[in-house]
Amino acid sequence: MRRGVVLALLLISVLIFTTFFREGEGGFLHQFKGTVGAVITPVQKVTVAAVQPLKDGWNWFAELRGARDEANRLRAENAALRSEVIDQGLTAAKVKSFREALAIADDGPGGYTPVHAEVLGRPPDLSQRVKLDKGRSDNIVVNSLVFAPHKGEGKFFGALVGIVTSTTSGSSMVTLVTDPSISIGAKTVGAIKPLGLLKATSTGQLILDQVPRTERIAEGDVVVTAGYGTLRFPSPYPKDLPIGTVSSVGGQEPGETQTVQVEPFRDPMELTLFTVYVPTSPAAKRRAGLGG
Amino acid sequence: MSIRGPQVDWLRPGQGNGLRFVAAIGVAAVFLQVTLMPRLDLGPFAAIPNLVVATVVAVAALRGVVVGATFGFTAGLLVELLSPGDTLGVLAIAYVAIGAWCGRFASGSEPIGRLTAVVLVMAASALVPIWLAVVGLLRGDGPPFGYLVGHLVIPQLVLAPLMALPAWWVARRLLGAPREVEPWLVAT
Repeated sequence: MRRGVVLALLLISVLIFTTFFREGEGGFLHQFKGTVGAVITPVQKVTVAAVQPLKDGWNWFAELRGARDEANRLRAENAALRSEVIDQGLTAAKVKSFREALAIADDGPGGYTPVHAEVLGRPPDLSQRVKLDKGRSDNIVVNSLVFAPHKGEGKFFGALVGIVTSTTSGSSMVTLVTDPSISIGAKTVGAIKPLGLLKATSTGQLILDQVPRTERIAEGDVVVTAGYGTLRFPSPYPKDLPIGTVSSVGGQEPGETQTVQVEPFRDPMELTLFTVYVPTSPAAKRRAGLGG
Repeated sequence: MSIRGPQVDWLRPGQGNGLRFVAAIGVAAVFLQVTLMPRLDLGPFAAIPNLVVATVVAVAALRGVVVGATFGFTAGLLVELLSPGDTLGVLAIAYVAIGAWCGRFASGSEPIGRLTAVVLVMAASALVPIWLAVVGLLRGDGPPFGYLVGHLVIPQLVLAPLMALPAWWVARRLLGAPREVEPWLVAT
């Protein structure tokens, strides 16, 4: 009897597992999962709000401890700094994140409107996705672009870290560029020809493979979106959106092509705040597959 | 002659089969897993602590194979339903197996103690990412061995005791002594 129950449960699990993979995005199990996910979203929002003071408190404590170390060297200056930190209180870390996000808000691609959103959840599997606390009610649509601020040469700029792949009224799912299911036409900055499709390996490492050895690519080159598509099927990514830098070129592989490894500007799985660029112009809407 | 057993207060911890408390533990663990756990910032460990697997082990060890496997199935399915991600049923398979095996292990010898429970949770927590990697391999995007061990298995091994101890404590307080429950004996 015990064995029968366990076998029955395993069989049902396998049935659900295989049906879920076989059916499309519009299948019953996918829709059911989406509906249940939408129900839990308000609860997740409340929890995020409840947990945030604890996280901020920890960050504040960590910052304060760092400031104490510095006080040994710069006691006078640090007194002022410490009081400033205390004044800012528990919201210091959050304010920092928002400042960074605001710094890139006006630098997004033309035809898109920025919406700042916080992470609500991450998947239990190995996929690189995040659930954000803003959705259709904030005008976020599928194929909206997701950015994170990165500081380079003294100022912040937005780096592409993902794309919205599904939405509910109160949340949206972002598939990050480090997920193997995403591929982006990419080139080095200033280049005319695209190098190929930028894809992630299962460890989140971004690579461009099958790149001709004749291409002049060097470590440190900035990789951006190529933006190429057809008139009927445009790429959802406008051209020249920064993604990362070349971390290594080629290897020992024989032949006329080589693999280029790309380091993203930000590790998206570490972030808790993203800037979502919602398509608003007709051209941007067309890119997002909204007709425009 | 009465066919009823001794009178028990079902809402008192440690009384009866404790299946209401099993359900309450499951709901609480799943809720914390999908809301609080992904928000915990544990420094160098980027992994999400697995509280659910700790409760599956604890419940299975205290209530046997059938309750453990059923609890694992329900909890695994709920976690995947409520989390972002593109799988359903994968965790349920893993947790059914873990629940059944832990229930069988616990029924085989002396009642297991806290230390054994921690070791079982560590083993189960390490098995989950391995199972997910196998599923990833079947789908064509499994992680390399080094990444699997360094980034997924070892962090779970380190985090497992942090989840195992409170889960075991709560389960032991609410369910009382180990008592194998078979479906045909379940009263509530």
